[in-house]
Amino acid sequence: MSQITADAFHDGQGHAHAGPASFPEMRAENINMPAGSGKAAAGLLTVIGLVGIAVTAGAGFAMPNMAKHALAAYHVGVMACLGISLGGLFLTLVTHLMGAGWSVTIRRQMENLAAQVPVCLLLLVPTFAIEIFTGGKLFAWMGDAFAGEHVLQEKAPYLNIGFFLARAVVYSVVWVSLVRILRGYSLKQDQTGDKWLTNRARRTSSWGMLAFALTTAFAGFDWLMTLDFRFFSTMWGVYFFAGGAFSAVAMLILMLSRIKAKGRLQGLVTEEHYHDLGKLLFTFTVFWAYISFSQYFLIWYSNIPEETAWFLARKGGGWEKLFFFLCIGHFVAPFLILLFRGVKKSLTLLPLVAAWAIFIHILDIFFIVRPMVYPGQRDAIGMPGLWVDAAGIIGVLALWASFLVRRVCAGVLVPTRDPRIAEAIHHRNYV
Amino acid sequence: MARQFVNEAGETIHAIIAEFDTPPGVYHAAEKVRDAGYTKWDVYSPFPMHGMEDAMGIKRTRLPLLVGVIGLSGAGLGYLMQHWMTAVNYQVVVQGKPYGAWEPFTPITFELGVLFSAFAALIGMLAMNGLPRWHHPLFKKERFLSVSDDRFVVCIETADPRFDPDATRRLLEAAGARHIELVEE
Repeated sequence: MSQITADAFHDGQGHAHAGPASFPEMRAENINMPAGSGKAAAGLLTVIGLVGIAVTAGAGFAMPNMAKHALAAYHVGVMACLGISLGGLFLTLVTHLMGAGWSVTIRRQMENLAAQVPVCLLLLVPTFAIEIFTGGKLFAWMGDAFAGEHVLQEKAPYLNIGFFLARAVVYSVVWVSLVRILRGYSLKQDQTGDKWLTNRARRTSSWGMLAFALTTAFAGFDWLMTLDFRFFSTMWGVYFFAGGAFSAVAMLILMLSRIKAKGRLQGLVTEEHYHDLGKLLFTFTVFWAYISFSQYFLIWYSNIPEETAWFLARKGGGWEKLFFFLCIGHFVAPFLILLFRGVKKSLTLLPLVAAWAIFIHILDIFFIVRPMVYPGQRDAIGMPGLWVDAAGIIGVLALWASFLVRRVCAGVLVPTRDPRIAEAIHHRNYV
Repeated sequence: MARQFVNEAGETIHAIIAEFDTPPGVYHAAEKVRDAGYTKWDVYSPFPMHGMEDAMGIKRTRLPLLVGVIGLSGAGLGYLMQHWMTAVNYQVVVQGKPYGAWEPFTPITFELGVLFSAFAALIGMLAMNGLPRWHHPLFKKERFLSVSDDRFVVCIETADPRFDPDATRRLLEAAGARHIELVEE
């Protein structure tokens, strides 16, 4: 899209499209991490991750009454990371689909985030293996304990282990293919400079978005909602997606601020890009609130027992504190803070909000999973064993982050020969 | 008493306008006028020009603050209205739900927040722009009307404290204006 800009006035002509060499911002030391950087951080994260997961697993195996608790802690971590990674895939898809030029210089980081999806899928394997072989500690419907229950018998055509695994394979194939295809086009364009790859990525994103939406929604149903097999909410898939998209924007901001702290991406990712990412963060905090309120509101109003049971377990026994904390921390506070233009354009304040967003996203998944550990027990939040939750969540998150750090440091930080780089470099918010 | 300027016929002068042929021309002229310290002036163009607010040195509007305050007040007012009506003034049991439950109030609270914000934005924008008004002296100028076609115009009002009949004209000439004339009140 051509615009008349201040620069155009100064040279008296529009920007000419040109190769990467013509942009001083694309010099090698600006678009590559310093040699050897991230090694120490990734190593430390790996250690923290493995220790955390080992502690969680140890607690689960050593103390039989902790097994379910430990599994839940691990599952919270994995699902939180999966949400963030899928959010990265969503951002890649949507910017291709919209033909967004402004985001070209941050697209590689979206792709890096999306490439974390396979990590999460691998991390899910132990959970499913333990669940299936131990007869459903967390996913109670997998075991025989509730086999006689009418609801479960009616849901059996969908809720059975064979179909569950088959669906998991379908989701995995769709996500991994999308990541490989889109990231592949982007990396290939760095080599060949073929501008038509941009169009092909856009075409892939058209059906990709549809496939992504369906698989993400159903993954949310399968891996979070069926923790309580009696509960159902058609809003659930969007709820899972909303949290993921929100935290993915936040993670993107954090990644960019870490990269920029190393003096990279100067002139490529500016406060104008931060401003837009801040707007996206604002969008998704409102979107999350809209979706989660709609879900809660309709269940509250219609008052159907198998639906309200889910919220009853989370609005008593100490969990109501977390319920209202999420209302404020996931919506009211970020909403009011991100209203200010100065926050969105600030290279120091926006990452702080983003860090908070990641924290609150994990708490959101915690709020979904953790009350299932001790059903019927009303006093849950003061219960011993928060250290297991901390170890499981931090462990998974650290291990996940170690892969991300390695991936970011290993490659070029931006797509180098995308035809819209000029647009991204000169991007400005005029309003 | 503000200064007044009159022409040979005794008509009060509202402003001086200078025509430019190209966007870069008027852009750089605006920068010169800005740097000369003028405050009551404007640029007219057939289409929006990005970056012109910098060239003119226009500060950001305070309107968002107004919209934010009024919007949040509207939301708060909407909540209080519902609470007072259904939990204080005339209590009715609906579907066995408790009095003053926040859940059913939320959509209307949101809607009233949006409504108040929208009105604040529209009315505030009009008020800050001095609109609506019935007439503007510039519309009397036949030449000025071509600004909606292919002309770019800088207009400096005589009400500007820095306005000077000769110096301002010289400034606009130096900025490359192809035609300069006075606008009567």
